[in-house]
Amino acid sequence: MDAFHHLISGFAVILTPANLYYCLLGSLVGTLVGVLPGIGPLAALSLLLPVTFNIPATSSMVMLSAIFYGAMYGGSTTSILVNIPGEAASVVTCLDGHQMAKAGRAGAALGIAAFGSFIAGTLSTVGLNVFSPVLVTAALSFGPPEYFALMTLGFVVTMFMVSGSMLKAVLMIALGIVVSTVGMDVVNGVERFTFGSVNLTGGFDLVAVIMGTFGVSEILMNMEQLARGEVVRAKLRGLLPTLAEWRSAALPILRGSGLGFALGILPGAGPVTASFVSYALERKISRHPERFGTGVIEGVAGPEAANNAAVAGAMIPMLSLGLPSNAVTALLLGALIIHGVQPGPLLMTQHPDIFWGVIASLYLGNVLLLVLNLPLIGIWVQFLRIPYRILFPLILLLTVVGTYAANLNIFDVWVMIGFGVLGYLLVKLGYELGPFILALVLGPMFEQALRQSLIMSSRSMLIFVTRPITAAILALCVAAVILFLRAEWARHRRAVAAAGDVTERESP
Amino acid sequence: MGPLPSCYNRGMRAASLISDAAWVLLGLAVCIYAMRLRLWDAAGPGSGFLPFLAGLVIAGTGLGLLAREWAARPAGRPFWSDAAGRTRVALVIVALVAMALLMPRLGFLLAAVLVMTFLLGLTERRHLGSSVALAVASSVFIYWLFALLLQVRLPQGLLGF
Repeated sequence: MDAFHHLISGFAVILTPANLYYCLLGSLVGTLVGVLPGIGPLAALSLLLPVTFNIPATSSMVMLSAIFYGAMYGGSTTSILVNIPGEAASVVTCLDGHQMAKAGRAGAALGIAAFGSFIAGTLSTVGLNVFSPVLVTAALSFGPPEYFALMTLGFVVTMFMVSGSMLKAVLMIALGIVVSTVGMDVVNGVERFTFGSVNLTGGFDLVAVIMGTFGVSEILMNMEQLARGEVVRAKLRGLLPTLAEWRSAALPILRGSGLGFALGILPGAGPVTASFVSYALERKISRHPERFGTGVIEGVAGPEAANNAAVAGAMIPMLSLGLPSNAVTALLLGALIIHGVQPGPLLMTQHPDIFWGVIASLYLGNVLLLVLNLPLIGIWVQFLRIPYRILFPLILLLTVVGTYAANLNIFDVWVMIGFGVLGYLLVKLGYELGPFILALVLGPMFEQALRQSLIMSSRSMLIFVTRPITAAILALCVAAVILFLRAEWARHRRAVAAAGDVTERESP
Repeated sequence: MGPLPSCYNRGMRAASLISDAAWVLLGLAVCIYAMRLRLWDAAGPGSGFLPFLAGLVIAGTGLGLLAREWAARPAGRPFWSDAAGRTRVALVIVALVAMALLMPRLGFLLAAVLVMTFLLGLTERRHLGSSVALAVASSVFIYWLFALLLQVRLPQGLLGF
């Protein structure tokens, strides 16, 4: 009942003209970002982060969160009409959504994607509403050792959730930690990795690093492959699904909601994993798995519901524990820190306006997005026709100005360029940048928790095994690492065996 | 510019091996630097403790990746799919560097117009006049958004904007 009362206060926060405006603006920008291929929610959030410096922290969080879930809504439009995912979480929507569009059922695909997203978004927000306060209450009894263990678990789970090499994910986490230690050590005033540069005394600016690794590197990747698909020029009618379509889509939407919510909470998972797992699940339990990929509505409804549900799921550890579960929530946490708000379990009591305001904005945002997406679909389609060749210089200019605006320091622009080139090369070499940014944001908190724990125990490492919660979480980490090493070894052996086969076949 | 010559097909493997070796060196360099910061002091972990551990992980995983890449002998794959794409990427980086160099000297607006014109000409290959018009319009819009609406003090050049 308490949560209900707090939610009402959250609505009181969000229903002010200013916050309504930022929620609407975020939803619009998010949808646009989702619709436009070549700019994902991460790049958009990093681009718009400096814009939020001049507005209150609550409004800033409302707008940035709206961009996150707005992008999930908008991404389906591009996948269905152009067969190019507007953002990564809509990749699987291409498979059946575009086939439906080619068969003249674009309206039904877009309609079920929007309604599925709305239902899943609302259900998972109810989950967030219920579970977050419970988790906060539990987390209030956590000390530095428990936090250290939780963050370690976050890093370990991230290794499993990457789609590429786990070894590369480990490397990215370690690199993120090293980058996070650049600057003055707040405990004893020692300068680390500054090499005498005054600009580095405060460490790398988070905005510049994020803008570079996600904004610039994404632009460089897109510039390498300047290709665009054709927009399906079908008439968009029948956006309201028929009864038969509802019957086919209802269960996939509910399953996608539950799955997306659960996967969203897990560190390292998030909307992209949720949509892929949902598609795989729907195909596995379908009576006609062979029809998947030919334009079945279940292949659109499940993944679209899952990626939206994952957004609210991802907000649970972020709002309750101050721990990001993916790169987007890491960026949202970064935004909180930039506004001088300390994330963690005390956020609910110290800043209830932010905590409950964001939750209330999720309810409202889902309604806004449904209202915006269906009637305005024609306008979103028009945006798809703007060539990326014209869009990218504008985006690039925004990244430069946005980075500069954070501290009015041209050094940050150089940092952005450096991390942009590094990010581009890393992506080309098969590294994922999510673990890097996660470690970059968590790094200072991780180090602080480790040091405080050892001070508490008079430098004894036994503190990590004598406290039951810490010991249980760390035992889980050790078990996961053993599994990880076994999986890596098996993968290596398969790769060597495959290479051996190829060599044998090629030799005369 | 067409497809890259066949010698580039070994590009990805070479790049992977170089990057793996670079990780090992970077990790070791981080460890050496961290040791000079003190790993452990009276209060517990010193300033170098976490960077040292992270450096060890970087060097160790770099070594693991190097060994794996060496043993796997994957099929040849180019690092860049085509020469035109590679040139576009290089020119965008040049444009960014030019923007960072020109902005404090010429001011935001002039630097933005020059760089935008270059970027639009680079990919759009449209008439210079239309590229300049589009560059001026978009630069003025961003100047209006940041300098006038959001009151951000953008660099001012000789002309005062």
